[in-house]
Amino acid sequence: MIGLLPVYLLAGLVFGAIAILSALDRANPKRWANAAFWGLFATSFLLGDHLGDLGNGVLVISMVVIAGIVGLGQGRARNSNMEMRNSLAQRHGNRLFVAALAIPTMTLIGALTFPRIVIGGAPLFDPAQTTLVAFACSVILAMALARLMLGERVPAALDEGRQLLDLLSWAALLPQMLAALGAVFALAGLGTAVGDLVAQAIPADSRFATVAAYTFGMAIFTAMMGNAFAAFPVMTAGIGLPLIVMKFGGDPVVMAAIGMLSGFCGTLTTPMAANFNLVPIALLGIQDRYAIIKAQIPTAILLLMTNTVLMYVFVF
Amino acid sequence: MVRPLIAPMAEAAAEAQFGPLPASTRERIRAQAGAAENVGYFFGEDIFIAIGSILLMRGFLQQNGILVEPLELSVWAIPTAISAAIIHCARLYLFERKLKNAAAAREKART
Repeated sequence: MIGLLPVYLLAGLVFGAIAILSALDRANPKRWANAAFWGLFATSFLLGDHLGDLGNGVLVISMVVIAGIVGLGQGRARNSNMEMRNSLAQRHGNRLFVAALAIPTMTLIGALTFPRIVIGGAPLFDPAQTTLVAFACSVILAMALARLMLGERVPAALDEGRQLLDLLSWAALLPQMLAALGAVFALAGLGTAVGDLVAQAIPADSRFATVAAYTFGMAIFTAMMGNAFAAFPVMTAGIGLPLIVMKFGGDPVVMAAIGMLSGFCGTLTTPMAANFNLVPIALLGIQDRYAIIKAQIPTAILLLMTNTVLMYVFVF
Repeated sequence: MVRPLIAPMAEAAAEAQFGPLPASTRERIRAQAGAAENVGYFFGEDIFIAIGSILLMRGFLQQNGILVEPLELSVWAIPTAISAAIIHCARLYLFERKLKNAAAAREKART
């Protein structure tokens, strides 16, 4: 049965290759830091199961120390130049989108068909993980398609991927890190504390007040943390699961989906989400540091209210 | 995407319609371009089934003994995505009307 293991293996090999390519890149003054950072990340994919909780924790902290104290540099892909890209773009035109659009299309097809493939009475793919397996297969197929269309070699793709990853640098892993932080908060009992607080503050049998406490709580906690991924485990363990789902019998799917999107409303309002709200200010050459946030706040408030109503209507 | 494409296009479109713009207006148009990108990205991405937030929701629910399909989660992102598009487009429409009025006022002041 094909489950997450091959997907993790693939991810580990890709990041391992990026670590090796980083180490070989003399154009990057911090190439060893980059190599160590992505090498550790690859290790967590390849050997994470054998490292134990403590081992993985030490690994994550080592990555933070490398990124925080040494810092990561910007690598440069070996064979990349503007003329080549322009000539390829001119030759292929809009067909270049085919490879990119192949990924979501094939993921959807795979997610819908994989669960039905049964060989010798046993499912070929782990039914709990078909989406991720389909996603990984689509990426490989899209790569093969691009290889056929463009005639570039696979190492060139990895090298270009590395250059792109270096632009994002450690921030590429911020969502994962914040999700892990949220899980730690939830384990430490912050969710229960929030739940108790809410239970005291709102009328015990009001469904609407509970839903509003969850959506607004997601938005506020997200605004403080800068990312909905850290808020989600805390607010969902505190209000979403125990009150909306267990007590009032709400649908966990609707609760989670709209809850997360309520958190995104919070992201629109906060300078803590610097990569979305402050970095573009510098890129666009705007004087007012908070101009984007100001442009987003009315949408965020209206949409948060819409989300609250949507959840109230559809969750029960 | 916003810096090389959307912001210059928005500025050029405004200039073509309303003539030369004061620096403060240019900056507001650029900020609106950045905001439009964020709104579209945040509320559009959850419709795709293999995106980080869907996987996080699924993993968290799974740990709490509730198994859900990523496809269900992404389907329930659609009402919010449509609302976001309507709300933000309406606001951009109002913003454009404001620019139009300001341009008319400038024109009047000149004559």
